[in-house]
Amino acid sequence: MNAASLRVDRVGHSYGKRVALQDLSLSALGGVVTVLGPNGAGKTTLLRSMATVQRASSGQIYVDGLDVSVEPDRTEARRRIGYLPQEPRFAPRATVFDIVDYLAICKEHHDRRDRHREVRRVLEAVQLGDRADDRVRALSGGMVRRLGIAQSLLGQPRLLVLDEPAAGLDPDQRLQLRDLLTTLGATSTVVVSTDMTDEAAAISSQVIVIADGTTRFVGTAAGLTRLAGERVWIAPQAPARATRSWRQPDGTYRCIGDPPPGSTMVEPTMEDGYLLLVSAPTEAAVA
Amino acid sequence: MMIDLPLDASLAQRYVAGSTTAAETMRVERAMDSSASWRGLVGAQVPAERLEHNLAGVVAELDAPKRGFVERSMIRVGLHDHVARLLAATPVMRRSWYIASVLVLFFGLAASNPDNTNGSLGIFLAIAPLVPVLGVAVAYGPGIDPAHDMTVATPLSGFRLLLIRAVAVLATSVVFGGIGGVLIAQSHGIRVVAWMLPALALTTATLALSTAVATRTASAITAGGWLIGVAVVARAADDFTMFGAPAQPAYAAAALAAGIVLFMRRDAFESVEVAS
Repeated sequence: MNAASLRVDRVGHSYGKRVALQDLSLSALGGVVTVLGPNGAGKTTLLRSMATVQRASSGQIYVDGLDVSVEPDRTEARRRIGYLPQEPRFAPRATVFDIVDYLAICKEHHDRRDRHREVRRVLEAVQLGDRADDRVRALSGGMVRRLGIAQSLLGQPRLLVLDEPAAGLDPDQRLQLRDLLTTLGATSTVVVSTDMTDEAAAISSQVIVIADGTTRFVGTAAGLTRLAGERVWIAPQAPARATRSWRQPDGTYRCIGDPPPGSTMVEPTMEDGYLLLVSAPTEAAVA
Repeated sequence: MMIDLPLDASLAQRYVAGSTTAAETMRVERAMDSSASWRGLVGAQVPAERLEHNLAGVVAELDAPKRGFVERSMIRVGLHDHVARLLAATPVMRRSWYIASVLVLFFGLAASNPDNTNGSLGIFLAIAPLVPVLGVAVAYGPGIDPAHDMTVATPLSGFRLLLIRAVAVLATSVVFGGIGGVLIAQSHGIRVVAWMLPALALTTATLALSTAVATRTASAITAGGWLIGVAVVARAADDFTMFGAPAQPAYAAAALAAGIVLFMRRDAFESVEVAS
């Protein structure tokens, strides 16, 4: 196994007076780790810090024991990291091949022949091999994201940090991405942020839920689902007391929270567990 | 077609190993041109690894993106392929070079007017150092380079990339500034090169300042400060005081000082601070 160990130790980050992350800790070695959380929860700040793009205001991050806040550890850690930002952008007039070739050079692939072989490999991995000569401006949003994913795969990184890789992909492409990520997770550590619980349930070996910059849950997808056990019911009308409820196509309401006596209980999903966690402030849970 | 004799496996082996004489090499190659069996015989002597390597080389060349004029020129003057690629891969930067060249040439031509005076030379000397500053402003940083975040996350040092681009911008500016200077050299003599040390000082100061503020802001501050300084001194003394021989060592010292600050604060280029 080629996976890098990742340790995030009491990391905090502030933008001026706004606290984005607070004393957040986690660790991972191999597999797909999904970071779930609502918009503004601090997911992107956390992933940027892991990817060494941004320096955390406090705490430490270690990749294979290397402290990413200091040189020469940081450069060595970067040799092991592949990173997809939340909104990958590229020079619109450059071709797909040029973009990946350029970033391959930045990743120290200096030999032209080997570099081009690696560029072709990663483009094929995201089904962009036949678009290598296209200019970026001719690509759809989903293709641009796949291009972003392709460059993150350069050099077969031991730690992949992907910020919302499934955003903008159609269902077929999402399936292919799931396949790719679970395959990569067998040999690398893959950290993925998403706000799509079905994606997280499908690929994760570990799920981390963060909200308001703090950890709310660390565990498995099944563990997150279990949090909502005996707390999901169906009601014929909008309930007066429920943490969250929403109308379903058949006119009934799916409710989560503390059920009233005699409620019709149903099997929870991971989304129920997630909504329970992020809807009301709770102590951090580990399952 | 008949093959010249003697051609055999041992000759093919020696050919593959590169130990044939010139005459033998020609004979083998002539044989391979005309005979599939000879191509097969020679091919069988080549280790599979080497064949794969050679094929990869051919495929790499076929797949390689066509190099643009700038990139080809850089390789021609001896730059490594990957360094040339790093430089040429930022379209914004190339555009800035064109802007820089046009600006310098424009002012060079303006100052070379037959009715020129010290005043027109002063304009050229005041504006020319701003060209590399302008180039640096659009050469590196978030908001300039669309893939900046992805670049920062790679082992290539942001400081190194910035320096590579800054040197390229400076070199280009010197070339175009030099063309502008040549156009007016007949009227003004050696004084037309008096902008070079100020350009070096301003560019280095911009880079040093960009360890604390955005590169564009740093460029605006140094360019604005420079223009105000030139205007104030020109009012108090004359247009050429800022560029005379006594002032030149001061620019060299300023460039050195800014270079030291830049080096000491180089870590600032290794991360990006963006609220998200």
